Amino acid sequence: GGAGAGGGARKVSELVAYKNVTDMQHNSSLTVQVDHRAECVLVPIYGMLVPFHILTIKNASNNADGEHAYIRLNFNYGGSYEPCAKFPRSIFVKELSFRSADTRHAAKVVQEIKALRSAVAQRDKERAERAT
Amino acid sequence: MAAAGEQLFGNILLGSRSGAAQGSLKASAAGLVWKRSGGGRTVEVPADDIAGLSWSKASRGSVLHVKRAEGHPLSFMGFREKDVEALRSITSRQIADDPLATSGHNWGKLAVDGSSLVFRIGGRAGFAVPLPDVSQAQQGREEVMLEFPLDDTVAGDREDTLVEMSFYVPRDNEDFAAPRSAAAEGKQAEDGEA
Repeated sequence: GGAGAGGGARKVSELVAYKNVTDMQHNSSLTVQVDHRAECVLVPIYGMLVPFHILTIKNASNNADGEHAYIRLNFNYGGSYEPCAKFPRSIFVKELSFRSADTRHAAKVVQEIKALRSAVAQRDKERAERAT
Repeated sequence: MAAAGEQLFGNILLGSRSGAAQGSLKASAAGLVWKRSGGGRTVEVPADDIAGLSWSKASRGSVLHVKRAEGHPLSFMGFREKDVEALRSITSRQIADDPLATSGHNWGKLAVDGSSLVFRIGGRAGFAVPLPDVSQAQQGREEVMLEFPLDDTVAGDREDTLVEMSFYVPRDNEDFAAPRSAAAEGKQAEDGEA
């Protein structure tokens, strides 16, 4: 559950991370990274950085394995996820995992994703409560 | 080939799962030749191996996507926006504009296009993965999971590498037929407990 729950909350299906491709803010490395301004996570898929809004992400985790770390992103789908009801025939990205040679980066970016996730969810909840 | 119908584009990156390598791309009527900077790898795509070309404006430069009759699709990145005109004058093939999805949504349509598995978001290009790169595919009742091999010999290990991806495919979905064959040729299709 989480995103989309609560009557006055903004609808995840109506979120737009970037109006234009030129609005994308990121560094030049093809690494998992966070754009706080646009409230999204950018992930490298075959050389391209692909944005996912933070409210599409259910949780993020980091597992170190020797000299590598694994960054795992679980996405929202199914039952209480508002876009699922709106687009019942769509296919949803459910999970993405990346291997990083930089264990510090992996730990840091997973913390950033978690922090942004709760900050945005909390703020939306407060806004929705104020609106009612 | 005539020199007039040939153009060299410098600082063109070739994207791969573990990053992107810098090089230069020569385009001519004979096809495309990408050379890695400082020697090493060369990728040649003869004109008759090109099955389709598309063009996307990205956050840093534009991207030429090349579908091949044989082998992986390729993405050449770092073009200037106007380079598409030069490319169009060289190749007899159409270069379709294919804007990238920027909405940040995690839902869309999944389809097999040649040797790529393509995820489109709101009708725009989300991402594409070359199916020959998939080391294992499993299909559950409402899930498709893809694994990619770990290759420690690949240079550019500094960057983050996609190792696993899964999709939720609701029972109401009708347009997802092809990956069933991918699942069959990978491991046994699992009957997931959804």
